[in-house]
Amino acid sequence: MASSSASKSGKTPGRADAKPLESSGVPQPARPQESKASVRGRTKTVAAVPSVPARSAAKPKSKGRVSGSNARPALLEGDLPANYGLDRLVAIPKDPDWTHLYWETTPESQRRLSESGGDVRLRGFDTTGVLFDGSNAPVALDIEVAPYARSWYAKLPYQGRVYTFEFGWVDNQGEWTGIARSQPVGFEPGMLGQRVDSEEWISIASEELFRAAAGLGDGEGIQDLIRRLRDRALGSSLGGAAWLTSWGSGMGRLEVAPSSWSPNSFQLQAAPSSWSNTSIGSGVSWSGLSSGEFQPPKNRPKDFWLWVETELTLYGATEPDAQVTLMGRPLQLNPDGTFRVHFPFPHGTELKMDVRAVDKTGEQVREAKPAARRWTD
Amino acid sequence: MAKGYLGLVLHAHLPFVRHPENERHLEEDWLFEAITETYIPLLDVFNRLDAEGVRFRLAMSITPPLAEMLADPLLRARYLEHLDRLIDLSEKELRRTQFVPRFQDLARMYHDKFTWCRRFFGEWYGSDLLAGFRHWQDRGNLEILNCNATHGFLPALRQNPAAVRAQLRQGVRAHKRHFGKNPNGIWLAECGYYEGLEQELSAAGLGFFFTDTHGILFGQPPPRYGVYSPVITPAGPACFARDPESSRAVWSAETGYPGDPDYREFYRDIGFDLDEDYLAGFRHMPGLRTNTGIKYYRITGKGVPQEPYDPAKAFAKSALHAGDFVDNRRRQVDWLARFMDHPPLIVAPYDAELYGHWWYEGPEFLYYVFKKIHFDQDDLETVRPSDYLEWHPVHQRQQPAFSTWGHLGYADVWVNTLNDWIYPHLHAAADRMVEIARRFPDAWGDYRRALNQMARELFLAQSSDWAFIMRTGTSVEYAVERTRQHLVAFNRLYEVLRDGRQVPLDDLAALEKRDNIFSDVDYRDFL
Repeated sequence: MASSSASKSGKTPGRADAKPLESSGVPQPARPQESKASVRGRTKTVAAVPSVPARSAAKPKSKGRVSGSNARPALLEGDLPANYGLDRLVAIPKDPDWTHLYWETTPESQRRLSESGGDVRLRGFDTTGVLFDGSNAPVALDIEVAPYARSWYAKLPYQGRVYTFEFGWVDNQGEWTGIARSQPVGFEPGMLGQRVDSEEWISIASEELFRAAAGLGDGEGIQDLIRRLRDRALGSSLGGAAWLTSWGSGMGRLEVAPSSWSPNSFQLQAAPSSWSNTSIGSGVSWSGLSSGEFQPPKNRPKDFWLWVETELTLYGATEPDAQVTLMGRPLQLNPDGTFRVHFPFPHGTELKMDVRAVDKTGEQVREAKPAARRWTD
Repeated sequence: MAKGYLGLVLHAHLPFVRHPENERHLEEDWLFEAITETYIPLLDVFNRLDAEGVRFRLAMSITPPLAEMLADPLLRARYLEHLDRLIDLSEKELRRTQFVPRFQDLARMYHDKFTWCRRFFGEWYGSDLLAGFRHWQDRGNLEILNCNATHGFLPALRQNPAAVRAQLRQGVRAHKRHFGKNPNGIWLAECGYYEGLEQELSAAGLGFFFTDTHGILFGQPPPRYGVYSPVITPAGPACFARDPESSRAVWSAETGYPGDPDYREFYRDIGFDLDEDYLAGFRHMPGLRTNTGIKYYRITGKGVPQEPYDPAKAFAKSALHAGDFVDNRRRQVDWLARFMDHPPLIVAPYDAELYGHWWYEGPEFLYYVFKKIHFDQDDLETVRPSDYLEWHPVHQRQQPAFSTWGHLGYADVWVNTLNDWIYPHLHAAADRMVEIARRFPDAWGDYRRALNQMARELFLAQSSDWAFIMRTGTSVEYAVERTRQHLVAFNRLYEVLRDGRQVPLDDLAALEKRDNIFSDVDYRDFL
């Protein structure tokens, strides 16, 4: 495979001459001597770039598609690191209620953890209105996580509060040791939280316009809006590049085919049906990945579906030098006198395929009049 | 003077899909299909409106990756080859359908369209569609909005503020290069907004942005005018929010216009219907079926066999729907104006590719919307966002709320169990980028090239499209592989620089040639 050619060319300098740089703004190093080639990376035989649809029956390998000059750069070889050598906890707000957390620990921290014999926890502090120093906020949330887990979806106790998470352990004396801290997440009071609790309006005009924008009916309040947002009954879509699902690998139709037979064949919301089995937002905390590696999850099964369409083939043969017409139009014969015509044959089609052959002298005529009608029960 | 305004916003975006390493590459078809079905038809609509003396105004975001692809010589040449293959295929279709007239009429429609596209793109526009959009920008009809560099989903990148800043700076720089002027405002990728982002927008010189409806509805204090007037954020940029009613009319699966039985069925494409051998000249490789854009059926209805598409009927329907859309907007502004001391603004954003690609008659619908607004009434006018801010500069000060226009309104689409594995890598890469940029703040020569390529690889890995695709489940392998490759390349270069090694120049050159987005990239954006 072409992918290995670059690393075999001997251009990759080895590490031997490298000098680590420490202070910032230092001049670049002088060019190190060319060293012996170190063949780096693995040579993969899978042509990763030309993507092949997952469902394709015949999975073609890249068939002469990578030419020598376009060889895959050796810099693309290798895998993503499993660790970055840090103690780190990162929180990504998913919505006002839920936050995604992932973490990484150094071998040193893992050693300390196992020596302590403590329980691994994600601890959320209510840091609303404080500059958190590790001890000046109450514990709001304590989540026991499996030692192998590396990510979590946490439900925040209250909207309108700000939380800061730490990853660490509780030892058998009950002492907390936090080794990594997230950025604060959640919403300052006065944001979404307050809106839920109170429906105060600047003026009647505001309320009317707010209701219009929110699509609220008589007697409905802001809770209804929030619920509707969650259900996405606002008529909004996947948003974003929803149509990309159709592009995808050109397999879009297969993925969302069931919709094409419904009146809503324009289904920007088609995809959720295939997501409904996932437990996103189901209200349960769970570990994202049990493998302990930040790697793509396995493919999920797709919805079952079926579609059927018909075509019709008319074929026959006569003397190679005869003149043949089909429905009055001349047909091109193959050298051996055979002919073959492929028709679209959609629902509601009726075809009278009058075939007429005249011999080369123009004296003998033969006719055939097959007919076909296509309907659907 | 109009009672109210309609602010149409078309968000044109595709991820950077350029693969010089292969003669043909599947995902490049995304671009080619969008050119044929959306970008050319939109320019054609603008041309026709102008020729008919119709005053029209709208905003369009043309994202940096899309602009880079539309400006790329390789992709331009490949688009023409793609069209040639389509023209050949449609000629075969003319023969195949000769005995079924209603299909042959459609085959002729496609044949004519492809040959016309070839003239439009190759001859009339000299392969430069950006020039077409610039023209309408300079004429004052079209406001071209900026977008952050590679459409990175900023709420999930904010962990490192420099990553957000660099996305914005590179986006503005690319915009200026492609459109000849600084952008006035930005379409945030996926409408992804979080409290405080406006400070970065302000620093990047961006005067306004857009959120979904609840961005303003849940903002603080409550909005005096709902979403029918922009608000001014604490840091200065104005914020517009989406009107749900006009959105629903087009987006909704249940009630949206594009689901009408007369409209063309997207999912019936001969690329999937016909024999593989027949498609041999068009397909990428044996066993791989793709859309051709040749589609013969209309949506028809539930539980009944699909019927052939009738363009005349469909296009007449798009005029009817445009009339309905305009009537409803008029009623809307008429009602809203009663509560407001300045004319209401209806902000109606859509994916540009919805028009034409998904909804085949969509561009025609837009044509009729503009025409009817111009000729048939006086209550409603179309505006560009900047026009509205210029005419009505005083607005309520408000802190908008975290929001996106994705499913469920927040970050679920881009942060879930199918794609959350990318964030540890993206965040680590951003941190490494800042670290290495600070170590070499004035790099030169090979190191500078390597640092700039690192910035490119990071930007490309940050595209929200990969997370989106992983979630929707089509092309997942491609999205995973793109994320992986950009990050691997990034990390390799990082290790070289961190260890003070010599840059492998051949490899770097190969990478520069391949991931060549942003000729003006500057790693110092991460300082």
